[in-house]
Amino acid sequence: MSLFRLSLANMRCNKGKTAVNILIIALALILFLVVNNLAAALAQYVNGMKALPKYRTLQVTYNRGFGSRETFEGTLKGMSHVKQVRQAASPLIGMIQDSAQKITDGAYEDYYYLTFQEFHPDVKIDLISGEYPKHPGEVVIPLNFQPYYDSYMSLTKEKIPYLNGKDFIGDTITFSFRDVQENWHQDKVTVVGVYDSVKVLEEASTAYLYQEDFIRLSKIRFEDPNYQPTDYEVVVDEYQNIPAVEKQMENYGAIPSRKTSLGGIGDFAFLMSGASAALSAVVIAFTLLIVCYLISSLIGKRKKLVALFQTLGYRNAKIFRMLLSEVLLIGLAGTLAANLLTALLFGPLWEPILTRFFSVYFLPLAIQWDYYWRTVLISAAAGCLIPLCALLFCYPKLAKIRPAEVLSDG
Amino acid sequence: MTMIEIKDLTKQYAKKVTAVDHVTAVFKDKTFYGIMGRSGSGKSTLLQLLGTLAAPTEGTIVAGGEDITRLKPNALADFRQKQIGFVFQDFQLHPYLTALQNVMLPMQLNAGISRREQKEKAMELLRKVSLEHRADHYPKQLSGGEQQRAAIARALANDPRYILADEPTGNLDVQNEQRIFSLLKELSGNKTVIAVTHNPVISQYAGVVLHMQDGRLQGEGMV
Ligand SMILES: Nc1ncnc2c1ncn2[C@@H]1O[C@H](COP(=O)(O)OP(=O)(O)O)[C@@H](O)[C@H]1O
Ligand SMILES: [Mg+2]
Repeated sequence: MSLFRLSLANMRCNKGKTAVNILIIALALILFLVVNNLAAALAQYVNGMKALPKYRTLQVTYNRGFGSRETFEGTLKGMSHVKQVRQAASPLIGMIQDSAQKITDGAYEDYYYLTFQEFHPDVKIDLISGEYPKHPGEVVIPLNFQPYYDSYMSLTKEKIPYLNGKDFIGDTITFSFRDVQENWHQDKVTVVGVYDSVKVLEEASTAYLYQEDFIRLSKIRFEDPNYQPTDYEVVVDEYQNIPAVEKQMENYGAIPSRKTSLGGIGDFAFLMSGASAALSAVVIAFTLLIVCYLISSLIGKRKKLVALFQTLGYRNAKIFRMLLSEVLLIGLAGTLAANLLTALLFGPLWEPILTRFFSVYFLPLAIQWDYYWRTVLISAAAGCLIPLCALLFCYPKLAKIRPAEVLSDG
Repeated sequence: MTMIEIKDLTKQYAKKVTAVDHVTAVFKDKTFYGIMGRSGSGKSTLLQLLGTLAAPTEGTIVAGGEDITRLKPNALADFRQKQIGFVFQDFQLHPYLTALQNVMLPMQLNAGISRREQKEKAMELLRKVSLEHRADHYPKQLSGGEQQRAAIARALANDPRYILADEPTGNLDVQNEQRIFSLLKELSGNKTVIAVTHNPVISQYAGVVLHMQDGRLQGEGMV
């Protein structure tokens, strides 16, 4: 009989306590995994955004109220930290959105909208198949939408872009478009980020981060009958200097059409990582307390069995090793259960749970799931260390057991 | 030199109850001792002292020429492992190990013997107590008599010099009682067997019957 088998047999003597121990550890680790993986996902997202060199550009809209374009451009160029000012090629901002399930003649159908934020004469939209646009900037594309882009060929319900949006980051999607004059054109969209179930261009992703700016800008554009959109790309020397340039622009009365700063979400990510560390510490400390209590009461119930081993000639060190392998098994079981459940919950079960029980048909970034091996490893370490520390803590109680207790009642 | 000599052995509980009161005795080799006495007379306590399960308040126990009351916890554990086999009234089998595994439990501590040999030896011991057909059964699946026989097989696992039995038939019917006593008698062929009981039937099996009263041991061969 190995130590392992012996420990299993001992465990069976206190099934309830063992189960509760495993459950407590598993629950704590699930909390730990969720919080830390989300924080890690968010941090990775923010770092990714910051790392993109493109983010050193800032989009500015020329406002007629400012004066002539020349003055406007000159002012922008004269600012500190500004390296270059160029007229922006009208960006195509597209996103693919799930309309979820729609009943047509009693049947379920999945629709995906390819939506463009702007719809002006330069933007050409092509209907590959499905319905013609009903609203400016919107094309309804059925699930079998297969433009000149390979990855879409394999689109399945599980592989719709915003569920695994990260798979598409960096990819270029080529579209054909038909403009309002019914002319056909082709254009490209580069996927640079995933936000709020939307695959968007780099600028669009920031626009979505700052909805207010988007709305403010739209107002200016639509309330001014003579408005002619001219966007400028302002190249800033360093990412970090973008807020300063924005500030200068605001002082001059120019409007940054899309703030590129990640300040808000960056702060949030920082806060999250701090909060997740604090919460993890609290969760683990609290679990340690509970498990200490459980193992202490387990040893209380084990007195007779421990005494039996002592009468058989087992040294206390050997008995301790037996208990050690038992609590390690408990820790491992808890870790395994937690990781499996978390993977299940945020994997295959996530979408059904959201849609069925909460009628949520989109997945905001914040709950996009990803496995961070560091977190998994830390959870495994915590899962084993918690019962181990608890056992060490209870060692005095174990050492007090005398072999004569084999004869005690109960 | 393998006999046990006890001298002035005393055990007090909480400095009030004197369960064993200055007992001096010699337990000879290869003899079946039956210790009888009323409940509360100190039989179990004496057995615990002999088995090093409890430390005496006073006195010495010399076994194999060594004063075992002076041993440190680890040495005591080793002494129990090598020299003593216990048999208890309520069998004390591990509920989640089979009869065979229970018999193997004390052998685990014996580094010199391979797992296969352990198994073979355990099987042999089960055969000795006529339980080989129950080797893979769990205690729950065994009758009281069978459990006690498994416990005796376990007590023999490391071929100890002494078998200490506390009310070994306390939970058994008459037939099993006889079976256990004759088994113990058989074992006394090459071991010292000390069985504590208030069952008078033991006098038919034990070579020496001693009486315990108020913590004092009386009988033939007593000093
Ligand atoms: N752990 C203990 N603490 C206090 N008193 C005890 C303890 N064990 C036994 N006693 C007392 O010691 C006396 C002898 O007990 P015991 O050896 O169990 O007798 P027997 O086995 O002959 O019935 C009794 O009075 C009993 O109450
Ligand atoms: Mg007794």
